[in-house]
Amino acid sequence: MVVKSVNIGYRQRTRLANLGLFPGVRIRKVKSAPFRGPIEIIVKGTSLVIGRGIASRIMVQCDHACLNQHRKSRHHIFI
Amino acid sequence: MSCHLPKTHNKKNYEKSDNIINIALAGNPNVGKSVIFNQLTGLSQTIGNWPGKTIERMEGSLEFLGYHFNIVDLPGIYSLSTYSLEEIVSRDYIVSDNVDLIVNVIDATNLERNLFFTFQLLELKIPMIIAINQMDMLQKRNRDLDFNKLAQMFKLPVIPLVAVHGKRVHEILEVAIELYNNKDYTFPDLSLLLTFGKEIENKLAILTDKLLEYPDILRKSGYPPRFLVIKLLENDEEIISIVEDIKYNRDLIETVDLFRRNLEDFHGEDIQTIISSEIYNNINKVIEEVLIEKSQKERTKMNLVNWIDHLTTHSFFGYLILLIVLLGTYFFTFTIGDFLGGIIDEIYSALTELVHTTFDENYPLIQIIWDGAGGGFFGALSGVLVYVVPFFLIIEILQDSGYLPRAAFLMDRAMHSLGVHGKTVIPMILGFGCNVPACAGCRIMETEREKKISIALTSLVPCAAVMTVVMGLVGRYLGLGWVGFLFIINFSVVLLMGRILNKFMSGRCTELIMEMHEYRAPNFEVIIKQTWLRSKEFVYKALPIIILLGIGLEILVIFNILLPINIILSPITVFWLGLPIVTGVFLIYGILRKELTLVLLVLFAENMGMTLIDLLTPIQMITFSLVTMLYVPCFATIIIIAKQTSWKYALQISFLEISIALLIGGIFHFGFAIFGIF
Repeated sequence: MVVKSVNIGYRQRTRLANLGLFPGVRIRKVKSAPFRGPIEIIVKGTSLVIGRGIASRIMVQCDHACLNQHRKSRHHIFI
Repeated sequence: MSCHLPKTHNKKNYEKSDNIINIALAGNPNVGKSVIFNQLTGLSQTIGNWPGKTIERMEGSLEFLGYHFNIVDLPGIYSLSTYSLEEIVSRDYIVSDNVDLIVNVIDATNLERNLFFTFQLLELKIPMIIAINQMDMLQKRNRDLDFNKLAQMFKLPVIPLVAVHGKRVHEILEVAIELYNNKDYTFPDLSLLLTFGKEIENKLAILTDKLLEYPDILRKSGYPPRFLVIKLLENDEEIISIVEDIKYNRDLIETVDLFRRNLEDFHGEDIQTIISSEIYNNINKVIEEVLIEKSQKERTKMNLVNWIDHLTTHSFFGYLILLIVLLGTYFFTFTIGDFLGGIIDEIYSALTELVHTTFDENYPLIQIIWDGAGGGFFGALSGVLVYVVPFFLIIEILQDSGYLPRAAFLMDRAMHSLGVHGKTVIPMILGFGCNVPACAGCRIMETEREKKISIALTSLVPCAAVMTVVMGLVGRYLGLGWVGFLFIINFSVVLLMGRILNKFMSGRCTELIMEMHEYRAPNFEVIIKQTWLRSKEFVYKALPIIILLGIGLEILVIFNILLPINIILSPITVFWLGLPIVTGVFLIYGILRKELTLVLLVLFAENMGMTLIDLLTPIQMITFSLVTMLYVPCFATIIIIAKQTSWKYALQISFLEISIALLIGGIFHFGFAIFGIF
């Protein structure tokens, strides 16, 4: 999936940008921790773990592969 | 802010006639910097702190081919912003006169993200060598790197390595010597590599020209102009504050603001995102040229590692494994610790016999020295150090292998209810054994704020000594039900403390953002060396103070100052807490070793020919146990907290805990009395 927007606070948004997560970048979701825990995603080829609060504010656009996987509409909020 | 001498960034000034080369190792976390550092510096390493800060500073040195190398291992960081203290400290250090050249260590398997940091470093225009580590892991993924091409594009020496095998590590030093001796060295022109889009570069050019009107800014910061200008656009806090101190800065500030607005409107993103994506764009161009895919298959032998990874973060098995790891650590630490501690206790007893038969009461000074200093010393060894060393060992293994991020992943949510991050679960569980190594373990936290809060909460975890008191008093005479009650109170205080600290500590309550690198076999040498260094540090710093305290208390005994102290404390102990007057001094001794509160109580009772039940009412037992549980971290813990954060913070926490303990103790005392329980 491709990141569309990152609606979080300035500092954390910068932090994510430095780590390679910003609009236009392709990412892949690996898994989420139970009890609404953090989410593991692949960004720039390696694993990144982000808290659920941040993750839910990252809007992504799904391509075919991920549409099948997640069965969601094209634009969706990350969960 | 640090003030540097004027520094031209294009030419090195070789006034040094002595062959001393100062190197800074810089790179992302987990790239293998410490392995390289270890191989270069061996036993000469020291761990200290950056001056005035609580961030660790690892330094070492060696002689090689007639040159003396001073090497500083900078903290692992992802960029040179002001996101964390580590980044600020690192960038200040790099441009200071203390660094002759940078060795940028890169993980070959994580090229994009690593190069982001490299590109930031390049803007500082300090002579640099790039060391690409983990080439073997890259090969395993059927990929290769054209490092000659890389060297061409970067116009810098590039050395591919497999650090754990020790191959070619010393080549770094050979290249460093070459650079050092090159009198005409100028930092290469990397505009081809680093240039952003035209609309950005135009503005950067204008701003760089403007900057020439403000030589003070260049001088005060020590950074090259282009770096400054980019950071200004990015709203870098440190640099903005330098600019704000300069007169006639309005023109500069307004231009910067205008340009920033323009760029943000043009791109539809904030400036940070714009710059980051430009950099990653440039990185992609590099990667296209140098990364070679050898075959279509993505991964071949990685399956075992992947499987372990999946298992350790699994919704069920992950937690099971975590439990096993925690229990395993606990038992490992305390089996070894108890065993060694027992031996040391035996030695101490035997020696004490010897001392007392040789020197009787006619030599009070010997008594003070032996019982006080000796008692303190051996007590610290058998009661603390024997647990600290195995614990440090386990922590290093967990950290090096890569397990800690997985634990944090699983526990983050639960930990958030306490106001800390997932990683804190490890020190906190270990705190049930002994707070001292547990609090030392809090250094694995990524930010200052997290570390402070974690340490405070960990110090509230009832350690084995505390449990001795609780079980020996309340458990034995009042039943396990009341023990459970006390634990609930303790846990509530931990929650409360978490809330209080989160509210009052400046800084943001951040959500987790954490890179999770692949599992790898822990490096034996690194682990042993780190454990040794940290244990040594503990011995040098904490032990002397504990011994001094032991002497101090012994003096109090000798000179019979105990009764007056008890009387002074009686408003608190007798009136407020409703405890017998003798407990005053016992609680003071408890600061040294918590189990002493019970030990002394028992000794006193025996002396008087009473049992504990005669001495204390049930309410008093509960109150006494409660206060012991909460009132203050034991002295060794306080020292560790001070070392990890600051003395001010250690005292603040101690004060806070005493207050809470006394408050609750008083409430119990009067509450029970009013409600006629017991």
